[in-house]
Parts: sequence; structure tokens; C-alpha cells
Amino acid sequence: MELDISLAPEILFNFGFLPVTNTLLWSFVLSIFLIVITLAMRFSLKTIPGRWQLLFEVILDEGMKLVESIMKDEKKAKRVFPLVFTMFIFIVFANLIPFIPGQSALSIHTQNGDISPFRAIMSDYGMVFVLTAISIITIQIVAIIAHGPFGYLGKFINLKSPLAFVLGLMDLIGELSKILSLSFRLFGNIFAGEVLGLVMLFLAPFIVPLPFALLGLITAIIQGFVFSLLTLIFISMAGEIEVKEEKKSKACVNFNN
Amino acid sequence: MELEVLKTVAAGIAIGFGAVGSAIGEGMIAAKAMEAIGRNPEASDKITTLMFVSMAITESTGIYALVVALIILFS
Amino acid sequence: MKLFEALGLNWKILLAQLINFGLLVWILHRFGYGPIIKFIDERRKKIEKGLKNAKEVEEKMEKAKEVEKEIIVSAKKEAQKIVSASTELAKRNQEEIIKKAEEEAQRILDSSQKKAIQEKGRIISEAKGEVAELVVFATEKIISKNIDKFEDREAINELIADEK
Repeated sequence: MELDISLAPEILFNFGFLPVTNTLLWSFVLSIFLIVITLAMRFSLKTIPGRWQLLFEVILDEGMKLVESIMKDEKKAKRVFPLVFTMFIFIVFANLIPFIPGQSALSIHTQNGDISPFRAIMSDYGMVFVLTAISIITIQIVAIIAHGPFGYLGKFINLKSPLAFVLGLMDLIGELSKILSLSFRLFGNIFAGEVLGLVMLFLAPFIVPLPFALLGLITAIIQGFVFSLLTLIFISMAGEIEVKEEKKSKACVNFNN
Repeated sequence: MELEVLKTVAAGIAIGFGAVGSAIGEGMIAAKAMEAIGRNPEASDKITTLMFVSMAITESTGIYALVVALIILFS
Repeated sequence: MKLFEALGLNWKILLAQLINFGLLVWILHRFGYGPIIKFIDERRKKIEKGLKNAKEVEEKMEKAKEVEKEIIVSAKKEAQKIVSASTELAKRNQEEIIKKAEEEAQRILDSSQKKAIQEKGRIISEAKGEVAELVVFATEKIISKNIDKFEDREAINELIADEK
């Protein structure tokens, strides 16, 4: 048995001009699954909730409460909630799919060799990068709306004093590093979990991988939570209008590194 | 061939040393959070949330190490 | 950009995923969370209202129970009163009736006694008269000589009266 670890996802087939990788396929499937579940929930809403409805409602309601407690504004929270909550359930479900057993048993023969049709969605950097891009774009839009385009630009390019200029540059770097840290955190965790599981399975196929699988299960949920929570916090920070420019930007740099 | 071996070694060293710092940092955060919860159990919800957030931020350095290792390996 | 290649980044895939996720967010928001959260809020309001109503109803029930109790107590009292009054009345009536009956009986007795005495008197007086006449007659017959009817009678009457 050979360990084959690849960073890139495997291309299953070409759909027209679009190469469909296994992660992309599964993210489509997951999207449809989430939509079906949510719609089924929505159309079977009862005044006296059943067990599943109760679970769904509690998750939704607690999420709403958390978003409100961080945004500190009900109207803003309602606007941000769908994005953040969708990110959360999408990532959590995406991370939980690999724990359905029997996936590594299947493989498909192609001209490039045997490839598995299953792969954790978030262990493909492209998928994570899209989520990060969406959250970063949202953060920038919120910041520009809050500060005005020139005010926001002035935050980074500040010519009042050398110190302010350096701090502005640091802010810019911090903004860029946000993208890297946010995306690679999720990707690294899930990819490392996958590789760890594979290695453990390779070294000792029985019992030994179980604790790691449990750890992976916890990581799966926590990473989804952290990703959406960080997005939320960045959005709420971007929306804040800063009074003391210097002090705050220092804190911002500290926060990002 | 020579370069390939060097790259692999460099990537291993980079991620190895990079992981140390963030691991220590996360351990300290967890310890302090546990202490705080022990002292004030009612605030455990808030502390847990904040713990995860600060852990995620502490993890950043480890993640930069990972990125650097990946860049070394594949470029 | 060997790294990008190694990571398997392809703009077509990224675009597809972007559209996919955007659609997911939009659909879930439009048809999922929005209506569900609205529903939850509405139900929360309803439950609050229901609880308030239930409390009010309970209070009302308690009040009604108290009133009921009071009514029952007062009704019992009233009934007691009526019963005791009627028994008293009945007693009094009874006594009165008995008294009346006794009086009546007494009266009848009295009147009958009086009548009897009168009758007796009358009979006696009649008998006396007859006796007197008989005596006179007998005496006349015995004497066979009519002296003075009136003097005789007077004398006899005096005699009888004396005897009385």
C-alpha cells in the first residue's frame, strides 16, 4: 500500500468546459442537501415543534443570539446572519461528510490512475478560498460603507507622520494576512486531519485511528464555528467607526498577527 | 535531486518549528480559560467563545508556517 | 505559480463554487431562515400572549371559585334560616292550633254544661211546678173542699220556696 497525498483535488470528469473535481461535486451535493433539508423544515413548520424542528430552531435561534451579541445591533445582525450561518452549516456539514464510513473503499479507474470519488470538501484549497473571498469581500464592502471610500483608503495611506504611514502599511498587510490566515486555518486543519487519518490508517489499521477520528470530529465542528465567528467579528470590526485612529489601528494589527 | 531533498527538509523544519509557538500559545490560552471558568463558572459560555477566537488567532503563526512550508515544497 | 497548480486552483472551478455558494446563501435566506425566523418570532409572541391569557383566566377562575364559595355559604345560611323559621312557625302554629282546639273544646264543654244546668234548672222548676200542681191537686182532692185557691197556692209556693 502506498500513501498518496495530493494537495489538489482529483478531476472526475469534464462537464462541458468545466472540470468537475470530486470536491466541487460534493459541494454541489451538499448544497442541494442543505436546501432540501431547510425547505423541508420550512414547509413542515408546526406551532408545536417536533424533535427535529426543535433542534433546528434551537441552532437557528442560538446562532441569531450569538450574531446579535457580537454585532450589538439587531438590524445589522439580521443582515449578516444568513451569510455567516450558511457558512457555518456548510463548513460543518462539509467537514462531517468524510466521517461517513466506507468512502475510501471506492475508487474510479481513469487514465491518470485510480482516484477516489470522495474527498473532504474543505481539504481543497479552492473551495476554502472561495468562502474566504466571499467573507473578505463582505468585510471590505462593510468597511467602505461605514467609512466612505476615501476615509477607508486614508486608513491605509496616511502621510501625516512617518509613524502613521508605517502603521497604515501594517494595517494593509494585516488586511492581506487576514485572507491567508482565515483560509489556510480551515484548509490546514481539515487537510492535516485527512492526512493524519490516512497515515494512522496506514500505520495501524485497527483501533489506533479511532481517537484521531474523534479529534477530527471535534475539529470539524470547531473549525466551522471559528471560521464563521471570525468572519462575523471582522465584519463587526469593519463596521465600527473608529474614534481614536492610532490606538485602534495598533490594536487591529495585534489582532491580525 | 539535491534541491528536492533540501526542499523537503526545509519544509519539515519550517512547519515543525512554526508549530511549536502556536502550540504553546494555544495551551496557555486553554489553561487560562479553564482557570477563568473555574473561578467564574457562570461566564463559561462567553469564555469558551472568546477562547476559540483567541486560539484561532494564535494559530495564525502556525498557519503562516504551513503556508511557508507549502511554498517551499511546491515552488 | 507552481504552488497554485499544486493546490489545484482553477478559475473555472472557483467561479462555479462561488456561484454555488452564492446561490446557496440566497436560497437558504430567501426560503429558509427568513420565513423560519419570522415563524419563530410569531410563535414566541403567541406563546407570550397565551401565557398571559392563561394567567388571566386562572385568576378569573380563582375569583369565580371564591364567589361560588361565598354564594354557597350564603345559600346554606339562608336555607338554615328558612328551615329554622319555618320550624318555629310550625311550632307556633301547632301550639296555637292546640290551644285553639283546647279552647274550643273548653268552650263546647262549658256551653254544654251551661245548657245542661239550664235544662236541669228548667226541668227542676217544671218539675217543681208540676209537683206543686200535683200537690195542690192532691190536696184539693184530699181536702175536697176549695177554700181559697190563691191563698192555698201562695202558701204552697211559700212552702216550696222555703224548702229550697
